[in-house]
Amino acid sequence: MNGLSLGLTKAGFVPSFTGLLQAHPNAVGAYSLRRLNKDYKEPLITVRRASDNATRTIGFTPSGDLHVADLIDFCGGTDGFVSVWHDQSGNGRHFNQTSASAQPKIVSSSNIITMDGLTKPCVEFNTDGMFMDLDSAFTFTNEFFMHFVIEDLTNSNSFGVLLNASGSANNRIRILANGNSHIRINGTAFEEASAFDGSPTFYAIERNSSNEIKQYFKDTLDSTDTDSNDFPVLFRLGINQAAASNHSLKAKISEMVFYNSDVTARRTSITTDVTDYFSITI
Amino acid sequence: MYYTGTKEQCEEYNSLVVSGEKYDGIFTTDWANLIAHPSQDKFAILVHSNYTAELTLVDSLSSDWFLDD
Repeated sequence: MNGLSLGLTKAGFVPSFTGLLQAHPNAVGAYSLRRLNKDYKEPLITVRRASDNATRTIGFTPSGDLHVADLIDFCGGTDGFVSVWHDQSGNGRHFNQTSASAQPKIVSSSNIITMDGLTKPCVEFNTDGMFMDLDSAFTFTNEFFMHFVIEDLTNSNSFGVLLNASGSANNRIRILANGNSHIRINGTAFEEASAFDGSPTFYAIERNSSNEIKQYFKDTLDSTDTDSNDFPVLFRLGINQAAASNHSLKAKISEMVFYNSDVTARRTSITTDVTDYFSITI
Repeated sequence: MYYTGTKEQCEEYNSLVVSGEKYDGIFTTDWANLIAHPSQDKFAILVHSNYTAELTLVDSLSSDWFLDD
């Protein structure tokens, strides 16, 4: 098939659907390989296939899953790479990568890429230099909450950067080769030992009204630190500000949602929604 | 593997690949992002297996290419 696929696969057919963003609105950025919002009718991703470098937008099925059949059909036995990971929050903060060699992978030889033991698709950052950027950075102020469905790969570099600010090393989130998480806010680092274990993980970071920064791995609180500085980290996904290959993320990601507000009271509900959908053990 | 050279040489290699690969020019416009040495006197670009150039070929970029941050 040629041409573009829109978010809905059958014109006029809109089944009852409730997404994560109905129950938990006001995200400032929302990226997933499932539909998160019943009002969202745009693609989930834009994909380039390796065989001829043609591009297609990929939407979702009536049940809200990534339209894998459309994706596989388009890729036609070759690899597929993500050039745009569309923002479902309504804020237009799409992650983009216009350089072919830096686009993360989603299809490998006509098979969707999945996390270990799971069936849902994911975006894979498996080669040095893969990353995606927003057009402009978003700064978290006061309270915030963000979650990731992520699997760190065993060949992770020493300094795999998950998120990095624009043009500065002072604000970032990274996964170290030994499984440690490392959050740096305004130059101050908070590190948690061996939290990533190579399995699919629900990873969440929150800052509450007391400026406590808490990291949760598989719904377990692993650390609490305190910092009140602005955190302009939502800009670059997968590498540091200098795009240094030794800071490349080696991981698979299926979902990332960001709130610039305190959702502490809803964290358990969000965790349940996400881990149920992706079948992540917590 | 990477080619190293001047900025212009690396940009020329990128253009060579872009021309051959026929990217759509909207969602994909380049083959690879140029990597600047901290000294700014040399650049590197990832090698595409189907395109060669008379540039210096290296297996990987040594640590001096990247500032420790």
